[in-house]
Amino acid sequence: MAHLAHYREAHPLPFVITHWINLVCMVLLIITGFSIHFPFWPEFMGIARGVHVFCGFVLFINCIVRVLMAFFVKSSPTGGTRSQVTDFKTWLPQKDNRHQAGAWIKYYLFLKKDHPLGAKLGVPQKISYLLIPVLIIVMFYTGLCLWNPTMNIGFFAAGTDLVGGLMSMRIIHYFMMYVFICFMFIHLYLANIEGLSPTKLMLFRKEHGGLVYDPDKHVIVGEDDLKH
Amino acid sequence: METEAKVSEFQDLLSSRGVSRRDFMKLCGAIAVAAGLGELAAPRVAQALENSVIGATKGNLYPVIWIEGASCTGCTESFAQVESPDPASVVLELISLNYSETLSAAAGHSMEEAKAQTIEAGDYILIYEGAVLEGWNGQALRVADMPGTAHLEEAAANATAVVALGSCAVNGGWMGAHPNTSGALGVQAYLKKAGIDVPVVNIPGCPANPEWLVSVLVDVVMLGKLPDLNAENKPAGIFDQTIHDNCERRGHFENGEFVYQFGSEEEAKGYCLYPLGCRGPQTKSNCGVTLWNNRRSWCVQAGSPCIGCCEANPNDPGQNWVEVNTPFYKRHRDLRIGDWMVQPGTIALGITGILAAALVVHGFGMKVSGRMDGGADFEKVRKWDEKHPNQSIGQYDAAMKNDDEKEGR
Repeated sequence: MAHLAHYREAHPLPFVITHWINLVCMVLLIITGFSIHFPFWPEFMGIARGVHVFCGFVLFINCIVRVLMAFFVKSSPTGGTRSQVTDFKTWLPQKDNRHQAGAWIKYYLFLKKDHPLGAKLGVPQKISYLLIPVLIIVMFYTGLCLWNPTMNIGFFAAGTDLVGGLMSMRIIHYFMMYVFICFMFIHLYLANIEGLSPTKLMLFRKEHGGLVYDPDKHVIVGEDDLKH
Repeated sequence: METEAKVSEFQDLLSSRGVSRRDFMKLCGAIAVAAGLGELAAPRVAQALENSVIGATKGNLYPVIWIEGASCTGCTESFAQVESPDPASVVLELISLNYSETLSAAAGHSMEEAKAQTIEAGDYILIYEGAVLEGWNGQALRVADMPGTAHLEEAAANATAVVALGSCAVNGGWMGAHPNTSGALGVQAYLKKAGIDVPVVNIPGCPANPEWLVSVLVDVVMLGKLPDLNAENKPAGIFDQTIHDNCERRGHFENGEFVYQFGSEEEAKGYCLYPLGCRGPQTKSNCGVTLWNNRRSWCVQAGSPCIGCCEANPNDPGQNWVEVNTPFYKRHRDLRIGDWMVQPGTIALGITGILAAALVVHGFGMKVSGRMDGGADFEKVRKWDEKHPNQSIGQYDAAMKNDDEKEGR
């Protein structure tokens, strides 16, 4: 066993908040989305639609805020250190770690025995996180193509026309919900399969001792048990 | 050229075929009764028939040519149920229906001649019902010894406006559905291809609601203008809102009161038909306001979920309402993968299930390889760093590396 120390500097408070908003909104959007697709729980329908539209806007705004904050909030580029860099550097694949993609994939396929050294996020993780804002924005767009008050606005009507009508748009919106569901499955699995410490840090800011990492030299330089 | 209609000519024509004036008036009486007008209307019918035989007779009425393409004549049948003004008034007082395969009493050569004369005189409306068939070099539909497409081109080129009546005329309708062997498409798309520049008004529906047609005719004939059209050249006032927006069962939708099964207690209460696949929320039309069949009722009032018959993108026969909406009682259409028809939900749940199973299997792998308690031990040196010892990024401190080796890390 070996894991890096989990310090709060990896996930500063603003990002803990946006993460919570993402979590709550996505879960509510999925539950209400299923209900709107087919009213399994009829009495919930009216509430479901209100919550769905509200959470859709909140998720979109939250996404934009989170992306903008990446350019002026600092966070640790990796676990095991309290030093920080501007956040966007930690989730864009960087020159000093993008070559680790193969190592990560091999590790997850059990083709590599030892744990790859990398940044806070592994390379496949970085790429999937980069796609999430794109996914949220496209999802928001397809949602507004289906939402009555906006469906006839040229910008949305043109998209509906392009994909072959409202039925196709509905199906795209529906399929994309499953992309979110699949992402959440993988995300939950990978975040917790090697222990719950990353989740405790991300959600509750609870630090955990472990190995200390030098993000400049890419080497483990010691251990900090945080007096556990 | 002689363009005036002559009753005597018409009588000559009849007598040459062995039809006496008396027989003709009897026929007119029968037609009037069949149309629900009563026998007293026979002279009016007679006058209309006489006037309409020679198409170039213009008089005070606006000439209309009504051509059947690949149609079931359902839109004509629907037109006979128009409420206001009644069909006889429309045909006798609003327009001069110079050619109609279904409604004209005359047939054969004289009808084709009437059409030719009307086209030559110009300033008329062409109502085109049914799909345009391009298949088999246009031979998929032949009328009066000419391909159906030739009839359309000929009649459209000189028209003031073309009304594509019914979803088939708008984009091929159900004839455009897979595999569309007859090459069905809509009037607007065909005329664009043929390079004929004439305003097209699209009135979808299967059949088209007769009140919609009358509203367009009234605009053109009485106000002398086309109605406001949306991006799909459909009258905006009719086709810019969804069925759902104006549905009489909308209150039940808002309350969460739904019909899940035909024959159920909920159905008897008239609850919302959304779970039975109602296409109201995605079908743009004002059926629930206009109503059908003498404005007596409409699908949803009669207990049927909307099946989206007004869905018709004039530029894309593939987006015909049948393909887009079947199976009608499911919330989604079927997707076609080769010959396999599958619901989107099946694909989505299938892939998600496979992913979940793969993660469980992977989890066992993680357990077996002892990675669940913090993961495997870290690699000593990243492979890339090992291969590129002289690169500035990711250089390991030599001393540190030695220390690591000493400590067996």
